[in-house]
Amino acid sequence: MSLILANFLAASMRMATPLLIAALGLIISERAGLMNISAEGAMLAAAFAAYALTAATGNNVWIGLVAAIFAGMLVAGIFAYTSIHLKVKQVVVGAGINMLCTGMTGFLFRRLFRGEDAIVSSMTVSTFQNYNIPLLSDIPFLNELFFKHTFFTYFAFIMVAVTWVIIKKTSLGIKIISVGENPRAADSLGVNVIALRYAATLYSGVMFGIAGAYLSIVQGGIFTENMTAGRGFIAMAVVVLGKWHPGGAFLGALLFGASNALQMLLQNSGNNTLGNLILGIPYAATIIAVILVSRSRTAAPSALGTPYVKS
Amino acid sequence: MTKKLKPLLKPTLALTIAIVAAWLILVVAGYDAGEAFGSLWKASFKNLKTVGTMLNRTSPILFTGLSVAVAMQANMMNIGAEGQFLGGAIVATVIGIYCDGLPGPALIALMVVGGALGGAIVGAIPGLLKAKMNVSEVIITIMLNYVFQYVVEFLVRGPLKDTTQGEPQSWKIADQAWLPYLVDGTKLHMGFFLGVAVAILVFVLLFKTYIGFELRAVGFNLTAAQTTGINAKSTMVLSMVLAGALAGIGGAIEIGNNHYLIDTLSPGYGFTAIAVSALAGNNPIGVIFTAMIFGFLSAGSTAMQRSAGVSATFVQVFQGLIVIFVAIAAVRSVKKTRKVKALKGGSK
Repeated sequence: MSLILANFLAASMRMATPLLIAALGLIISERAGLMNISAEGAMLAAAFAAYALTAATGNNVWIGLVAAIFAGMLVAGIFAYTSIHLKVKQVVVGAGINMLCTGMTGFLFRRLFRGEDAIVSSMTVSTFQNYNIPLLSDIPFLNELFFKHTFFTYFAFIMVAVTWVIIKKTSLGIKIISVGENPRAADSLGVNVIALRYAATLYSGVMFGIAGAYLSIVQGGIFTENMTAGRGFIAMAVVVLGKWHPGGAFLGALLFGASNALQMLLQNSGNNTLGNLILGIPYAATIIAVILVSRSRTAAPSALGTPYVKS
Repeated sequence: MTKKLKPLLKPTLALTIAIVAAWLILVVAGYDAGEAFGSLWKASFKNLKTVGTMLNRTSPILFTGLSVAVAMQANMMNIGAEGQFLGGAIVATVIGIYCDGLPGPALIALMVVGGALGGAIVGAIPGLLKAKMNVSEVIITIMLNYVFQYVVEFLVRGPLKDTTQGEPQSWKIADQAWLPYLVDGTKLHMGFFLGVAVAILVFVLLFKTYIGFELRAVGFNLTAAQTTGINAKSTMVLSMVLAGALAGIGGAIEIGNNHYLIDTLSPGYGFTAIAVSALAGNNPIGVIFTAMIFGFLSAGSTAMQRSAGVSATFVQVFQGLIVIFVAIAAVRSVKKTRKVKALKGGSK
């Protein structure tokens, strides 16, 4: 029984990892005032880039990871230019970018890797392997949850702390928050609103890139069309559920990861009816959390989704 | 007349740029772009049957497009047409299965009304939360999309599952509720024409009635609308209820077309709708035509894959390019009109 539970917790953490990494990127860019729904597309582009470059370089996963980061930054860059510079409606351009990424990855995947009508590519590439942390991975129970993962998961843990420090303890964090809460006031105090929003978006692109790479060159070593399957949107939910705090995002990501793991567990034991309802629970929980949060005070950055026009 | 046509100039230009860009991508990737676009064209306009299929595919996008357009007019970002569509589809399915004693026209009408109601409830949630608690409608609508997607997945595997079928799907709705095909040998049903009628009604509501004026005023300048005594909050809720109802009718019609509920009922109609509405400048009459463009792309995607070997997903590249270029064009024209007004000495 405890083995099942340990496996369940480990699976939850594995599923939570990409959500958490993407959510940490989103926390920074949303705090700076950008409503970026193209996290989904950025992650998909990154997953494809990671797969393609890993395959092209004879299974060099590190080059795959670098390619994913560049892909994430490229997509975030398009969003930044159109939404910050051209001041296009962020949600509309975000939806457009998502379509572009879904289409482009599917198109290139078929062109470069697929024969006639195979659904899944026959080529499997190498993946990042688990690294058991010495000593800590001997602790029963907790080891499965925390200490027997790929370095992506450890990176996510570290970034939770780093993001917290940036937001709470540095002047950069104060600037980011001020740009998201009241850009005009920030501007009058000499903060470069435009530059900071660009930087925050590109940074989130790096995180989307790493999160996307996780899907293809950590889990399974394959790429399938539209393999993100909404994880970019889930990352947005994780941010809201965690009230725009890194620690909250950690718990939020774990909740979504756990519901996924529970659904798989139920499916493996032959019950796939209830599992689908369970998948929906975290989304409903997010809605309820948003309502509860807004009862006390508004947690969302005030200028979220509003372009800044310098006058 | 030239003044009337001027708003069409930018979207047309953006559409042209998107076509050229898509064409170039195909050429660079080594495909026969002419063949690809040719097969796309033929998939809709080869004969009466293909036109019927195209209009059949336009129907759901037309309703979700109208849904996004109405919300956008009130400056509500409705990313949730997907969930509202499914909400409507669920209600329509239940009515279609269990009210099988009713004659066809009554049953279909009841399904449409039920679908509108189901969608309206799903739309009301983000509307109320925005108005009462200032919660971002973007987040709530995205969440509701998933909630209803999973509710559908649960229903077609559990309570509504057709136990005679292997794959998860609901029982079929009563035979008399199947939307009749208007022309023999085609898949043309009433959906598209109902959509056109509804689009005209929505246009009249938005631009010829006081409620519509209030709705647009809230969308144009919230603070100004409030100072003139418009109840902005109830107007916001109204716009989302309306948006939800429109998407819900789309879901009901799609059930009448598909005959049963299935978890892949909407391959992203709610997201395509954002593109459809943006391309039309959120104008309901414009949505009729832009929905047809996207219906045309949707109907032709597999044909393009069959005859030119281009992935069916390439259509999404094309759609994405259209949205991005159109959105950029829309911003530029807003800037210019403001500048012109300022030069003429008008108020800010």
